[in-house]
Amino acid sequence: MNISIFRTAMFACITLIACSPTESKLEAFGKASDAAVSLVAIPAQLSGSTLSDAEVNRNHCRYVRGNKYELAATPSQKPSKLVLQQANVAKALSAYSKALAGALSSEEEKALREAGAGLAGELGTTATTLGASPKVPEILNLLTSAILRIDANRRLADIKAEMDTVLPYLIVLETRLREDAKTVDAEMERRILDWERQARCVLSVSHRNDPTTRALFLEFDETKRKLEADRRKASKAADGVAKLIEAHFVVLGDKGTLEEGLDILNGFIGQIEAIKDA
Amino acid sequence: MAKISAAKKTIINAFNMLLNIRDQTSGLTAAQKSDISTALSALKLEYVALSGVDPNATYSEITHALTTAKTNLESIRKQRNQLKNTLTSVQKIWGSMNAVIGLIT
Repeated sequence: MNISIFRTAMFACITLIACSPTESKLEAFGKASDAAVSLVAIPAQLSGSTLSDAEVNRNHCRYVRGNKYELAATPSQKPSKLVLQQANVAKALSAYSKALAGALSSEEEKALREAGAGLAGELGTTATTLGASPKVPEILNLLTSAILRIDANRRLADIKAEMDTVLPYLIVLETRLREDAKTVDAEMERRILDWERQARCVLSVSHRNDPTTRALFLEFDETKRKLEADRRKASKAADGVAKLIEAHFVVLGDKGTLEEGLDILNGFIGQIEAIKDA
Repeated sequence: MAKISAAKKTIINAFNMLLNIRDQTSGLTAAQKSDISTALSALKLEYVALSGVDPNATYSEITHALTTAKTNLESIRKQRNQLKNTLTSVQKIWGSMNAVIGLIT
């Protein structure tokens, strides 16, 4: 199998030590996968925040029009079940990516190898004290590292087995997100419209020339922009998951080590930021 | 079972080759890009079918699969740390034994 160019780039990166230290790679992975996940979680957040904002503004309008003060009601509408289910998937996806990054941690692999070498050293000391050949410590060291390498390979196989189990579900998730995109977008559009209606009401009952009205106007303006931007980002959720799927395929097809697995994931998941900003 | 995992391997290899072509080849025409993307989608669906996962799995089922994998990955990590701790404490015990052996030999 040939993913040579990518691998070459990775090796160059490792040999030149031009890349960031491992722990920050883990951090980068965490951030990037959160970026993918946040795309999936946007509709639920947007729905929730616009619903309560709209209710507060509706209540404010009612008050300014001469009604008695009352605490704003809890919104009678809720984000749809679909949007809430997507938010749950987002949460699980985030926890899974973090666990995956932790399992691939090369810092912990290194600590394990060092612990093995330390034990081999002590065993070697015993052997030479008891009169064994001076070759024995060296052999013990080789043996321990060989055992630990087998152990690391088994661990990588276990991690890949988990990724293999998850992969078909990610593929179904991508399909579902694409199929449901229109429905979810329509819900966000409705929520934004309703939010805007209440915001306009608040503006209309305010004195147009009052400086505080200008502040209010700008605030609504900014929120509206952000809501529309979030709505556009949310439409890319399926593309973000598609990148995660590709990363899984590459790691599953690769014959490299645990450390390289993390590098490959990072390389792909870094592209999610680009999707977000596109 | 062996046949399924061999078939999965074939799909993984084909998928990665296509990805490589898509991302590393310059000057692909729009038609070629779209062909690659169609092929990638087909391979993905084939992978789902081979895995025996319902292609209409619900969001809750997806959530469940992710949560199970998360738990298993965490236990893989835990085992590694336990092994490291065991090795470290055996090393310590052995170290003190070495001191004794050094005295009696």
